[in-house]
Amino acid sequence: MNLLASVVARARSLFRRGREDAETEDELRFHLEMETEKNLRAGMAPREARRRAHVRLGGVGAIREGVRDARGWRRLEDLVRDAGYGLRGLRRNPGFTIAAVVSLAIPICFNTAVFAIVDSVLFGPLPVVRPAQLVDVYTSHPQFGQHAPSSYPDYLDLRSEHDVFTDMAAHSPMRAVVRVDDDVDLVMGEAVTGNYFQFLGVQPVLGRLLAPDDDRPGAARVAVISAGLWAGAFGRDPAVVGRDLHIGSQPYVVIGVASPDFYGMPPVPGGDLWIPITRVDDVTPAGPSMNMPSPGATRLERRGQRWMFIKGRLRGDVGLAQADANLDSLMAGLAAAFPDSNESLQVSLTLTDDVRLEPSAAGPAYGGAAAVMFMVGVVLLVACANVTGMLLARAASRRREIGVRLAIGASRPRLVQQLLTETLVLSSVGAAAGLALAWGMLRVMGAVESPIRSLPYTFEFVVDGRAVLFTAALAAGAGVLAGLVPALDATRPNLVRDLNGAGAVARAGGRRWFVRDGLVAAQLAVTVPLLVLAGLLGRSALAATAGVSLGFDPGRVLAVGTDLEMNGYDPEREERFMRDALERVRSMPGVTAAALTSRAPLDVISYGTAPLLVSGLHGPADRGVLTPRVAVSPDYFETLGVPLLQGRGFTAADTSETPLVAVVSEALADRYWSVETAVGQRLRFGDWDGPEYEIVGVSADYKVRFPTEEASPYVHSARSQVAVRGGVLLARIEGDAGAVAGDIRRELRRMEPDLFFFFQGDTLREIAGVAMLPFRIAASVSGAAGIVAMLLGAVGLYGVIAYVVARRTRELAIRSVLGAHSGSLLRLVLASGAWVIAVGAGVGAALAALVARLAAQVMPGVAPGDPLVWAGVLLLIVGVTAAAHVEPARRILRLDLTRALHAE
Amino acid sequence: MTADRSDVLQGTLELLVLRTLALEPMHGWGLAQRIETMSGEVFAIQQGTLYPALQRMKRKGWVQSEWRVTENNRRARYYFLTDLGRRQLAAEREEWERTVNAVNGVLNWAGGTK
Repeated sequence: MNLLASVVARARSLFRRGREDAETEDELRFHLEMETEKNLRAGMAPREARRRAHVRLGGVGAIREGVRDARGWRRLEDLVRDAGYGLRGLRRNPGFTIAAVVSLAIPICFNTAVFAIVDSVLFGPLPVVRPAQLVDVYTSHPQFGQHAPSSYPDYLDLRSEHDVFTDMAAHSPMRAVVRVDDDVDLVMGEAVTGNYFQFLGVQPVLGRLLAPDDDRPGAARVAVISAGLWAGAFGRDPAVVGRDLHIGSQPYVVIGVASPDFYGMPPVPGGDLWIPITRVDDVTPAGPSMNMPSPGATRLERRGQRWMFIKGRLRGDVGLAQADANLDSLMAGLAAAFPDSNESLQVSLTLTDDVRLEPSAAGPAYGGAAAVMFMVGVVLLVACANVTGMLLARAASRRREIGVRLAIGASRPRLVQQLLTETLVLSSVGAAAGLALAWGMLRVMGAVESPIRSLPYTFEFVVDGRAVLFTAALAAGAGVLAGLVPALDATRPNLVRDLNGAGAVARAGGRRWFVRDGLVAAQLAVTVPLLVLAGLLGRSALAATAGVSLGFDPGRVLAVGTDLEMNGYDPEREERFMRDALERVRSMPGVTAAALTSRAPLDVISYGTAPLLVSGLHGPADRGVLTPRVAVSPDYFETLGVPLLQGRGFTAADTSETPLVAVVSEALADRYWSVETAVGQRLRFGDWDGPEYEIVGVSADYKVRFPTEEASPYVHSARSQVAVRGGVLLARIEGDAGAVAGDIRRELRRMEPDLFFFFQGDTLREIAGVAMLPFRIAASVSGAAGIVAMLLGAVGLYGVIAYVVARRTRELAIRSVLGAHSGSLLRLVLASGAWVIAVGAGVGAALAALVARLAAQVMPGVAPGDPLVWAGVLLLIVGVTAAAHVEPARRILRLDLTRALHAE
Repeated sequence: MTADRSDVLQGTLELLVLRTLALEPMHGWGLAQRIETMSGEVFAIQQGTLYPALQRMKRKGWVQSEWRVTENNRRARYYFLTDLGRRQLAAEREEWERTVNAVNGVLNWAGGTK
């Protein structure tokens, strides 16, 4: 509405402009007539009377301009006229226009799309009422860090005793197998306290949201669904309220649909389903958790089990520091009352607006976002440089027009303004095209499914108002950046030279030429680092999935992940299923070995740690060192193909009746003992009173978290001796992985039709691929940026060389007449491009070396000196620059002497 | 033209226009004549500068204009003071007198050796 109103006002003022000019005209005519009459009365001859009147008044044109200036609309009028003028000019030069617009549109599309994503994830307004008042209340743990989750009993105590918030609420990310009619799917969501939606101020679009009564003990099982789930699973059924929804095996009633822009809350946003927190045992927690020993039968009762996030809404008169102090004293009280579960714990408060992602993910996310924004920004800069080059070339052909205008008295600032407006029109058209492209790109991306099956987030990003504003700012910046130098250069007054057309030619060998050279060299200089970075990241992502140094062959091991707890199986029934499944898979053709594990190697999602205590080294007072662990069945090491360096693996003889045993990795053995002396040592997990394990074997190191990590300490225990549920079935296979995976899936579905697969027979290579997703994304972004920058650079280089050839055609023709070979002419021209390339590529290589070393520091596994990457980039640059020479070279070889010598 | 005429002091044109329009609404040419007459033919108005000045004063809200018919039955744009313009005149006049008094004070002191 506002925009419309201002457009109308502007249009009206432009109409009025004509009328007011006419009125000024009338007024001045009246003035001249009166003055002339006065002169006549004084006895002058008519002609002399008129002349005198004109002299006394002054130039009518100048007065009219003065009046126009005084009216205050001058700037706008000029702008509109210049824009119209610029548009006509662009239409007259379609080749130039298309090249320039496309050069700008593609980088602007990148920038807009990246901005839209980064902004909506990290900076956009949270979809709640008065988000600035919200505070995240984390548990602070000396090892887990400042942003650890909290427990339900802690939450209840803090909520009943605090003195700083209007209210507090808690939520926990979760995932659940959801059945609607006969469709089984995995859904992300949150288990939330009953007051959660009221606390945030979220509104339903249908039905009602959860209310405080819904998390009372004994309340009915109810669920709120997202607008997305409503559309997907329920086909937008207007009567969805009251319909059934099975979560695990439990029937829930849908009570409402949340507002479409609500997607859960940080630090783990993204969710389609909300259930009362008291029903959390129906679902699987999906966020970080931290466990300390504490009494209680369920996670709601155990104070030491920390799995949820607490939020408070600050009272108007309370600041963050005061709230921090208040909660800290409460937490100190809890630590004194419950030392087992709360000793050395504190709270740490952060404004919710400042915590958009789970802190362990936030660092890489912000860093990655900055890196990507930087890269696409560089590509835009390259594009601007390119357009600058085009404008400089074009200005050469406009010098006479501009010279004439300067000669008849147009002021230089006015001409600069006009030329800049033309460039702004150009960049605006480019930005509009880029905006449309970005919109399409995000739509396509929204249709892509989450690559992580166990985290079925949906990503829907839109080009919103903020992104449009951002794009408009880009357009303005790009227009000024690309246009300022050419505009200043073109209007530098030099009448004699400009009106005498030949001057422009003489000048071609001079300074402007130098500017264009510098631009091309600069483009090359930014292109090389982008390409090298893309190559290095791509190589490390490839290396990860090629299984170079994982410690096992990821292509020969399939993982089948299920979670029958979600299907309502009790532990015994699930255990029977798993053992049965293992036997059946083991005897299938194509499978050479099979084992069960609580977590597949390289599955980043299920990575978890517990405090490790070593007998003889640690005492009852020690808290231990957080160490990753896994529970596996016999044949695990054989299935993975990881050799045992000492002792033995697990066997069927290790049962709940026999002493507890463990196998540690080489890196862990080295941390406390040595590979040779580790067997026979003892360790505990969790606390000193817990059971003691005896180390019976040492395995070779293999990658457990990231393919690019340093050798990681890992503790294996026997699945038969520890209480674990479900897990992942690993199968070592021969032959076609896809076919064997299909056979395994069919076999398991025969046993349980409602089975949901987290891994449906993916090889560990694919699972590692998920872990390497950030690398792959970074590689493809910098790769795309590098390719676009390189193509733009090639276009610029082509422009420079073609320009040289065109300007020196006459000289070349004379040389040719005097007997020069076309070969030597070619060398002459190529030499002029060669030093541009050499300087650009040289500076680029130096920058690339710097960037590569930086990347290697940030991302483990990047080898900054990778010869393959450097050679590839060099080859690419040589090839592309050579291609840029082809056309100009052909022109030299076909030089038409007669025409060339007569042209001027 | 004549050598003993001075250009209107920078910045005083608006004051002169306000003062003249305070007498009665008049058109641009009439304003120019009246200022010259009232100044005892001392000020030769650059007539061309009058119109942009009027436009500026209009934007500031000091004067308004409307098309009227003259005694000789011709259409002319007449300018007249607004209330804001009248207040502006009073303020500028006061300012002017203070300046003149101050300048006179300086001149008289410098010349009066007694």
